[in-house]
Amino acid sequence: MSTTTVIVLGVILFGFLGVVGYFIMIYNGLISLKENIKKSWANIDVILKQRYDELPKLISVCESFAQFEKGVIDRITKARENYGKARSVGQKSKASAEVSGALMGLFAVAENYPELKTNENFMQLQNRISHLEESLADRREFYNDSTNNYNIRIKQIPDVFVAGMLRYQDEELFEVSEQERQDVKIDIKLPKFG
Amino acid sequence: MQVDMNSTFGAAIGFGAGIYWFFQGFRDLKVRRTMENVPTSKIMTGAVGSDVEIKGSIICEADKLVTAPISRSSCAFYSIEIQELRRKKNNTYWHTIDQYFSDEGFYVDDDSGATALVFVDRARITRKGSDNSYRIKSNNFPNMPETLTDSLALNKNKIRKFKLKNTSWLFSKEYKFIEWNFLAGEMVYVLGYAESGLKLPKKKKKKLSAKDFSKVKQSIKDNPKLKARFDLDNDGKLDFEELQKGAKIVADKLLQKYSREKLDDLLPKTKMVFKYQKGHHFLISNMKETELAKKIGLMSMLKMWGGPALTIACTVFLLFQWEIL
Repeated sequence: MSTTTVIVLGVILFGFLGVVGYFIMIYNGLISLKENIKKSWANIDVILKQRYDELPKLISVCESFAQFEKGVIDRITKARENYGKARSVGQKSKASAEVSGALMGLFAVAENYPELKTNENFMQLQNRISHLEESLADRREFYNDSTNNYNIRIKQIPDVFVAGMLRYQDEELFEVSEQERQDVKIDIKLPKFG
Repeated sequence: MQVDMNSTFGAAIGFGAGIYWFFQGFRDLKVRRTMENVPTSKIMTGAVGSDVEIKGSIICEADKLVTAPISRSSCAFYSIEIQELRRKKNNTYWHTIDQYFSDEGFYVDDDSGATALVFVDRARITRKGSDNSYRIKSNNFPNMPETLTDSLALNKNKIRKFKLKNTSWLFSKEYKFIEWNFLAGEMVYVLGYAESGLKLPKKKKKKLSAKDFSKVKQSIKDNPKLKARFDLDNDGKLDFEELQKGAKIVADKLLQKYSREKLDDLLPKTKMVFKYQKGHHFLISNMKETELAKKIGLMSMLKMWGGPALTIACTVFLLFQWEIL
């Protein structure tokens, strides 16, 4: 046996181990990325469900004020119904955006009802829903980061070959509602001097 | 056939080390990929129960700061590694015999309205910045800086092998103490298994032992000011009940002063607890995520290429030694 033979055999052995190890690592990495997306979606779903459960209480408090605008309540009820029917990530994200929009509308209208604004139940629900909306925003960001990482990975070399074998495809992002994207108009009337 | 046992032994170690580095390189690469795959969570709203990545600054209240024993800087957390100079034939090398931390962990705040508690046990800590070290021979221990002596005494329960015992010049050993610290406000990156802060065990309130309690009673008797303070009926002497009551007050004060658990104070705001969990990576660093990922990636490449090269070279050497080639 010559020195060259030993070196070549060593390189082949380590090369083989390296390729197998690298393949396993990519495979496991992609599986965990996919599972991360599922988990981060489940974490969003928990918040959405909690918000879904809070809505009837909010509606009933608003309804107790006879003069409260019925159109706003109907919009929330309809958005809630749509969310209840949603199944896929895309449908749920669209329905969730609808609920968020309706809630923003309700809280804006509630500003015109001083009695409702100071109602203890309403205040508690408003705080609870605001807290849920904050959590939802953070978890949506996390979900979109996870999905983005996955979408990039499955297109990169060498992951693209393993992703192709597993038939992995792009995952949907959780889109932000049109209303949430709009800038808040702040109308501050400053006193005039001079 | 003449075989040089020393070089054969060295080559055999190199052979094993090369294989070890090769697999270690894969492990590092996996760590790097996990860092890239796990998005950063906010402490307040992040989901726990799996690998979580956070970035924030170390927080520590002013009265909880500790003094690092070698650099004497005021910091939130420090580590001391104790090394012993050992000799093997003609070579000398430093061997780590003990390591301890100033506390079990530290708090991280990411401005999300909550804090995370990080228990450092078995974490892979990668730091930027230099360490401070101090070398001393065991016959010279009385000249050791007071801060280091105090730190060793305070943490004696965490030190297993090292003994702070002065020896004669003839039997002296050389030791090196290496210190690093995290300052309050320093940005850190943490990746690891996180669980909810609600799972933190409630610590039992400490009680003073009967022996110490009688010492407190004696000190009240010996101190005229305390004696006057606890003499409730002003009859000039302390009866049993007065002494008992006074000793309880003093004991409580002493416990508050010396036994307050630092980590308990921020518990109500703690939403995440990081601790070592088998099968999960646990990284702590004061480097930026990208810098750390680059460093780990470079190390993994070095190990993955260098390991096999070393093993092949050692194999060729061994085969030459045994005259197979």
